[in-house]
Amino acid sequence: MKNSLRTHVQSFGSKLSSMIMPNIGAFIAWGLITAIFIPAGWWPNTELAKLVAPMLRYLLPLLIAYTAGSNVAGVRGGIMGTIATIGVIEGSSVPMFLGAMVMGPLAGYVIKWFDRATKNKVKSGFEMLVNNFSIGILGMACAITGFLVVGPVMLGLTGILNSGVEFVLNEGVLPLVAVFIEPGKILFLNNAINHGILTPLGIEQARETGYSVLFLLEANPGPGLGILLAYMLRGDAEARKTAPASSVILLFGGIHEIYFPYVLMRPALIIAAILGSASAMAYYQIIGGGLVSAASPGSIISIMAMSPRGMTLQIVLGIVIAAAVSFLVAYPLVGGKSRKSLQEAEKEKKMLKDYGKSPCKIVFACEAGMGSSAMGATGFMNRIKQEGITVINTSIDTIPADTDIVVCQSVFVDRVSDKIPNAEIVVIHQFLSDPALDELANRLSPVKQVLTPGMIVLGAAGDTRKEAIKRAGKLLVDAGYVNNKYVDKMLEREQIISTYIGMGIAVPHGTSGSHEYVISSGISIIQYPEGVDFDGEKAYLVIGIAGKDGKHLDILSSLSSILSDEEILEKVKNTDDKMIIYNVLSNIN
Amino acid sequence: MLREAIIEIKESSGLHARPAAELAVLAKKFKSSITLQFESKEANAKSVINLLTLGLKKGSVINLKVEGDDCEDAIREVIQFFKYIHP
Repeated sequence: MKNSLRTHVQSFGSKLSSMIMPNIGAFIAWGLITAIFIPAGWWPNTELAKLVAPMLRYLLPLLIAYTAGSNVAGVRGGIMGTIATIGVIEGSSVPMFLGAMVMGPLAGYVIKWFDRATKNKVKSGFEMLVNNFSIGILGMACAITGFLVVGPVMLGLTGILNSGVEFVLNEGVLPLVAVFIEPGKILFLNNAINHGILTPLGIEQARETGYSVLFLLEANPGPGLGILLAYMLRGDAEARKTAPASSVILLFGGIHEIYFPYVLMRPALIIAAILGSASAMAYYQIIGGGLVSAASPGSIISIMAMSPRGMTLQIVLGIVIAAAVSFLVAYPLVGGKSRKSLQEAEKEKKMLKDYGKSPCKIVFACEAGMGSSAMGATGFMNRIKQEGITVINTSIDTIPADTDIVVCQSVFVDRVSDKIPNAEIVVIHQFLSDPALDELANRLSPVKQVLTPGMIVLGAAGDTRKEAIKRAGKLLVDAGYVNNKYVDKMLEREQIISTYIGMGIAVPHGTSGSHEYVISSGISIIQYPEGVDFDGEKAYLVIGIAGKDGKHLDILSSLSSILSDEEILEKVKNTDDKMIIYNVLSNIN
Repeated sequence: MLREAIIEIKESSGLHARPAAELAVLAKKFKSSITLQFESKEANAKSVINLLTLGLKKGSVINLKVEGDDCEDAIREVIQFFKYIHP
């Protein structure tokens, strides 16, 4: 799969599953009530069974709608989504999961758009009036639209999807679905597949027939278990040691992610997972098995809890079948030395998991989260304009838990670190232009400023040529301009011919083959008032250079042009003020 | 005695630090003054830092000026050098 496509699928999938996942508890409550109290249940009770229908028709779709709306526009979005979805529900005759998943976010966007359009335009004293009536009026409009338009459309769509599902189930092609599901899981689309697609479709089916096999497709821990068992018996020492604990976590804890690295270690094992999963699907199709509601996490415990009465053992047998088939296929594949170690595979797993996720979330925080922080966030966002970095503004109390960096004024530092201890805090004095913001922007930027004051060291002494080069290299490494390897290449280059270029200047840099180790163009400057011996010449300035994409020559040329002026050179060699050097050389790029 | 030549840089990574250092070593063997002119800039070939200020890239066309008693040998070897700069 192409990376960008995977990013899109993963982020779309995570949008879908993030509407459902927080509500899985409600699905389970509904599933338990259904499994216990319906006429075919463990303990039939006609009074309590009255809960089943309204929970399915109203509670679950409205919870999804609220979650979906609030994912888009906070509490206001959630309320809008809920109002809109009641229209869709009443506008159609079947439970409207699909409708909730469409209308919830849509109504959220409506209020988000309204709030943005009226921001700062409401006279003070009228905020509450506008806030309440905007939701009231727009919510009414959305509910009516939902009732008249979206409901009937969704009814049709749900019908089409259901007949698709029925086709798959009736034509005996269900096992083929494993070909998509198992690789999808390894690519961390598991939640997207299960909760974004299978759960809503499954609930629809369960409403008609009492249970659905769709809940068992992704949640079955059998295929992963078979692979882990194979590793336990035939894997290398490391895998043999870790596989038992992993299989316990998988089977009882239902955390499927735990077996992904074992598959990534030997990608051919995906075949074992597919065949194991397909066998179980075939088996479930033959016996006509299913679960009453979503089994999440996919552990044997939740699967048993969601099994219809009298079917528990048959359902568990499906897990055993999946594990057995996957084990038999995996067994010959796991022997010998693996190409990748478990740690490497773990790393790869983490990479796959983090794909599509913002690598960095920056929050500008102030007391109210509306004035100064909003201004700061907008300014900063325009400045970095970089994919993958989210910049938002909030009040101190509502900083999201997954924030990586908080930007705030010094008075708030204690409250911020109480609120979110793991985030990095950048303290600023003013929100628009602050040296700390400059450093942050430069650090985050893939195209960094070539020279920053932090890259200048004054008054160094006592180093040999090799030490000086390493030191200049380390400055570049630490600031993220080059990776470690580049320093070796600098030392290698020095062996070929000295990088001393005259006038007391040496410009150590990597060999011609070393651009691959350069992340961004940069220079580091170390001033040695006593000089460093470079093959009999004395270098008073050791300037480490890393040029990206052919920038090397430009940097060399502008550096030597500037320093060819003896007056400037003397100043740079002797000053005890970094800023003098910085000002002289900051135009290099 | 004065000799001149026009040279185009063929090497794809241009006259970077290593070839500049090698050229300076070569130029210092001769008594003649060896000057490279590029656009409005001029550099003494015996000084690495001077050579680097030119920022010569592939396709840059320079005017080579050699003046002195051994200018015949010098210009021949410098032309030879630019033909065979290795990457």
